[in-house]
Amino acid sequence: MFSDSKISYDFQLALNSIKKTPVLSALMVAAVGIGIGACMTIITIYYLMSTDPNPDNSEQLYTYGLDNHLTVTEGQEDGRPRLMSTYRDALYILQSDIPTEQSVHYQTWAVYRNVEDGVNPFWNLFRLATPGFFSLFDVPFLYGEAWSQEQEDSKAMVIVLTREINDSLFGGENSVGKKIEVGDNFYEIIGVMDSFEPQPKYFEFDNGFFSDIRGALVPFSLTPVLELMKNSGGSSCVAIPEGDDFQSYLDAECHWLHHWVRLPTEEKREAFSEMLDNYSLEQRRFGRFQGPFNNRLFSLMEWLEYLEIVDGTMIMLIGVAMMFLIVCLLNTNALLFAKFTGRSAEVSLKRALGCSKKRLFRQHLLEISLVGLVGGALGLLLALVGLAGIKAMMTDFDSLAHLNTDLVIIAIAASIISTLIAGLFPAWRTCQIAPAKYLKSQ
Amino acid sequence: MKGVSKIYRTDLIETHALRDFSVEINDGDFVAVTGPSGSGKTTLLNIAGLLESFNGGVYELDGVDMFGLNDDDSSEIRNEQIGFIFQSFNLMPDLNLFENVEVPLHYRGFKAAERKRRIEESLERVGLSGRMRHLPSQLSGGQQQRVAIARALAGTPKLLLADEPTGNLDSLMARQVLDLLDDINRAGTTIVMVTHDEELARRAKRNVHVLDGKVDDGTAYQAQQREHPVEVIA
Repeated sequence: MFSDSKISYDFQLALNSIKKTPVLSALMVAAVGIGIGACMTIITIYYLMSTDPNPDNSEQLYTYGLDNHLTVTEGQEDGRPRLMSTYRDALYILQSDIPTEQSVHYQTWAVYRNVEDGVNPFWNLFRLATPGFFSLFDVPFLYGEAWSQEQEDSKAMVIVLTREINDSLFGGENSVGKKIEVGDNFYEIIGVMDSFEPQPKYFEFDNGFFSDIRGALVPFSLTPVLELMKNSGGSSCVAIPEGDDFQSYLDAECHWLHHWVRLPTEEKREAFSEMLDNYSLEQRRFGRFQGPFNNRLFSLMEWLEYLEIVDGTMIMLIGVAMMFLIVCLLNTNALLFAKFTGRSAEVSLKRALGCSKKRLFRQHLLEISLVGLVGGALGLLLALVGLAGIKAMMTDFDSLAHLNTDLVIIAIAASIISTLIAGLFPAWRTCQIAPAKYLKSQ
Repeated sequence: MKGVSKIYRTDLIETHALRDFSVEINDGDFVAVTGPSGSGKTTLLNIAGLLESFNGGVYELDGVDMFGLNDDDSSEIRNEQIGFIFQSFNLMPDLNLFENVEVPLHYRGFKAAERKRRIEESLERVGLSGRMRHLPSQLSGGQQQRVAIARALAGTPKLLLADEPTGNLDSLMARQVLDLLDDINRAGTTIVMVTHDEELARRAKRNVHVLDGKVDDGTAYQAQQREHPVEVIA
């Protein structure tokens, strides 16, 4: 067996060997690091884009698409339903008791002020949402809690702050019970969210799928009271609103609300689908929904796939990054050949002194693994630089530009394994040197 | 060894380095293998040291057949029973004397204390215990060869194989190294030494003259037989 002392001796030999040829070793580490860095930059983005953002609940979370075109010819050319809801449709569906929870939400912008200590006012996002938002999307709380359905129904002037806002306005202290002024209205703080960064931010596509959750949230029922139009993210209308007043905005055939429901059973899903169809057919009788019959119910993962968050470009980029890694590994392979060939006499001597081929091979693999390990660490650093670069160049990529533990483990493992693959043949070749071959010529 | 043959083959040529080579070496022998260049001396030493395989015949070391051993077994035997001394010393330049002597002991799996004891003892024996932390490049050629001898001795081998051990040394240093080999032999270690040097060969207990891959009957087992009469099966 391979005892501890043998491992530590072989480890020492591997370190000595790396130190003995610092330039070659640095070149190998650089080649592996650059290849791994490029790959990990792309893979990190792909991983965060394609991972289930709410694995505990994703099979129960659904959103829907309805097509409310007013004429047959106006249907979307690609046959896709509208992906947000109108105010009118959302209110109707909110009344359904088929879903066990529902969240209707949208974003706007508002000026925030701390009533007490007069910190400079600032702009930030402001969400209006039904209380289902917090339970459906598993929002963690630092202090307090979400508003109740009663508070929602009674249009209570209550607010839940994101941690970021609470930090900037209250220095991170428990602000529950305090007052805050947002957009000329006063709210009582009833909760402070903890860090909440689902990746992707699946429950809405306003400001991109990878932007941070910022600002604060108030009850959705305040929308008509405060007359807060959506002014962050997209809206699309199939008809011009009939008047200029806020009620006309709410009544217009415009899609601007995100609506998610929890449907825990197959029966509920079927019933909800049927309800959507019946509603759609009923609305046809009133002159709405004249386009193609395009109702769709999306599960969370179907929704992400439908939106093509991970598109063909990303797959192509992964391919390019992989090829780049292969080129880097071929370089490493050549460098390892050069390094190992240079030690033929040493290998010959070690064999003569009683080192078996197996043990020698293990020594070489250990050395290669060390190069892979250091290369992987360098690759991680370069990936961080790459991700920071992407974050700087592209908007709405806040939450993508970081590595999590899984990705760090993947990077190091990939680096060691790929370096071992690159070094397997050079190491094997070196160990085939006959023990007598170089003893006389040294 | 009985009837041992070694053939080097390339696509075009077949070279018979040893042909039907037979020799018996007893415990405690000090045998000098002489012969002109290309006669097969080094091949003989390599086969005796399990550094090369052979094509036919019988080679028994301490009564055990050495034909067709796998790499693990031959490495273990090399490590435990055979010590090597080379013309060019073959020390590792980046390791100090202590570490150089330590290399085969590591492969043997000795614990640190045992390694230390053996290293100190063998360096003491070659008169270099005061320079354990020196690098080989800080030593003279003769001292380097003594380190190589210490490395070979540290594993207490039964058989010490020396290939032109004084070839790179001036006559004074050569004499010191030979005196050392004499001492080692007197202490019971069997030594087989390949040499060109007739004077060196005379200091061995007996000579084996190799010519064209065979023992040269005309000169083998002659005058230098002093204490241990040997038989050659050729």
